[in-house]
Amino acid sequence: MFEAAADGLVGLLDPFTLGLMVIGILIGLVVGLLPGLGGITAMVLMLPFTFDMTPIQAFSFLLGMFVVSSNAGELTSILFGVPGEGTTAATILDGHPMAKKGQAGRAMGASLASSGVGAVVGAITLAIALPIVRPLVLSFGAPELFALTILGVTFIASLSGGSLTRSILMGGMGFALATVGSSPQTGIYRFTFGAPYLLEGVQLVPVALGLFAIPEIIDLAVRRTSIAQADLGKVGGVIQGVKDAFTHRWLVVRSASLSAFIGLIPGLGSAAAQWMSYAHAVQSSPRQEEFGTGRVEGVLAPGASANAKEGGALIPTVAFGVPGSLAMAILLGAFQIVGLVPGPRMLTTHLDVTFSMVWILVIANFISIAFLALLLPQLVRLTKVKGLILVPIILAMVWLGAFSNQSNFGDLVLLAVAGAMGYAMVALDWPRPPLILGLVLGSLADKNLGIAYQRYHYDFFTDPAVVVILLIAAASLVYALVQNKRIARAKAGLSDLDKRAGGRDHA
Amino acid sequence: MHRAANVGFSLLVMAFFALIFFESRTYDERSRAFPMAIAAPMLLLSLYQVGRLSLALYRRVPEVTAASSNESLESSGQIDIDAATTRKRVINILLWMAGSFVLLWLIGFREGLPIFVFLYLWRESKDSLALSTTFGVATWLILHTFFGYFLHYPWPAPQIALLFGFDWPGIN
Repeated sequence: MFEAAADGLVGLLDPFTLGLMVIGILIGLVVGLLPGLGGITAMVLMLPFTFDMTPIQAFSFLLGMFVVSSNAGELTSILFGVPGEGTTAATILDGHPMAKKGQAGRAMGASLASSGVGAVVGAITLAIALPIVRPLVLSFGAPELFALTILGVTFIASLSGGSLTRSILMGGMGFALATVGSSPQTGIYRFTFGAPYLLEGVQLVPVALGLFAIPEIIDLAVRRTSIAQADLGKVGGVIQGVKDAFTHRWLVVRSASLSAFIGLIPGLGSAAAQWMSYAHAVQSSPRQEEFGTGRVEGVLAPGASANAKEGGALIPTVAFGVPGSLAMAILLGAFQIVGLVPGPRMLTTHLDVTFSMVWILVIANFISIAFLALLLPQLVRLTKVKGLILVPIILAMVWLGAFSNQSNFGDLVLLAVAGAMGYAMVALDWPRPPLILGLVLGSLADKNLGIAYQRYHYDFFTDPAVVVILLIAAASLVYALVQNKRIARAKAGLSDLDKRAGGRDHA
Repeated sequence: MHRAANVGFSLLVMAFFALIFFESRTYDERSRAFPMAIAAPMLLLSLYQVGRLSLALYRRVPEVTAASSNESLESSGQIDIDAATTRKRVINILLWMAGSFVLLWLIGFREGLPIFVFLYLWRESKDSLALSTTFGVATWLILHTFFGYFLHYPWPAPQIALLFGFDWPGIN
């Protein structure tokens, strides 16, 4: 195993291979900084260029591109409140409020540092856990996957921000929207109302961009000031952000490990990993009520998840030919192009190639962090640019990002509808994250419940693995409810204090 | 006002779940099972939410601001702007958004986005003609070189070309 790991690293250190990785990183950097476009689009567009490459060269080029775009996507979420990819929306919740407070540098430093640590921790966790996890993952079927989506749903309670009813309603709406399009059981088209666009279902990218980006653009156009209201400081707090990642190192480690495990399970989806990491950060903090106002832990957890989840997703992709995420599905295309067959042999005969992919994730991550660190001071200054200059540029990027999803104008209409809804939700204090989490998990729950019911009827609820996962879900829900009550009591206490202070003022 | 708007929004949410619930009934048992399992309890919960808010509105219970919720504090950096100005500016940006959508639909992304960036900076942001032109040209250059030449981005055919049946330069 160690020999294969060393061989994988040596194969990667070839100058031409490293050069291709750097080219991929530069392309991914530009694409990643454009909201909504993301590394997946870049990988699809660049796939044909891998025809003449060796497997390691092709993976260096494509994975390098993907890793940096994932990191850069976090930065646009922090700077403009616009998700760089549909999956990076969780970073907005605390990252953008930090930018508004003049702490964009700190948030970006924290995000990059946690992403770097997360990639390494994710890789190490996988290497250690692989012998134990492999049989577990192989034994996972539709009932267990359905139970895992239920576990994911319980995180909605942690994303409620104190309003559980609204949170559940928005989570339910996300679930309902996920059922639009073809039924995974029967193939019947549901809730399309004769619109051809809806045949493919409700897409995550335009919805996430609409819910989060459009309200920010409107806010910027109304305020007509720069994003940051406070002074940025000498280096914008980047160093402080890096320190934060090490101060909260256990949160980073836990988030990375959790995301690596979620990535490892085929079909659970990488979008869910970031939200679950964020929810874990909220659950494990003694100051939950401050999340959403610019807590650095709210940036560290999704940051650690960004690349750790891809390390996890790599394993089922190479070992079973089952992509753990959308990016890995595209990588499967590269497998065919370079003449590799995914399967158990990738963990035996071609173990060096598998390890080289893990190394690529780690090395590309550090190179991309170095590139982005050079850009950080300039990026931080963007938060002091006049808002009205940023509005058309961000809006142009959002239109382009939404359209890139399917090259369909219907995506722009969906973006506009989601934008209107997002604006109303912000104005009326309805939580937006549960809707996204519901949309991510809804189709998985629908599909796996259908398969499980068809095969086992309701007997699958007595399966030991399902029982264990559902018990964890129940415990997580009870814990979140208790914490929500605690927050409500804390708020009531603060409100009383305010009233007393007001009374004294009047007196 | 805030609470009345909340009742309205809750009604919309309730209508959404009602639509999902009643539409589900038209599908076969296997296709409708999951959406109905979601929509039925959500419909009841939204009904409870509407009832609770309407009752509070009717009784004129003092509104407890959700200022400490995750969402409301996102915009903690806001400055004070009076309601009339806010409304005017919101309508203004919505019109710009609608206009940019029509522009993209009519003449496509590659030409529409640079024109939108230029017009917004020049007319709305009141920036100098030189700065507006620079940003417009820079947008055009990025779209043409990086997306078009390098990434071979599949630009859609502009509607105007489809309507009048002519070829748009550089788009098949």
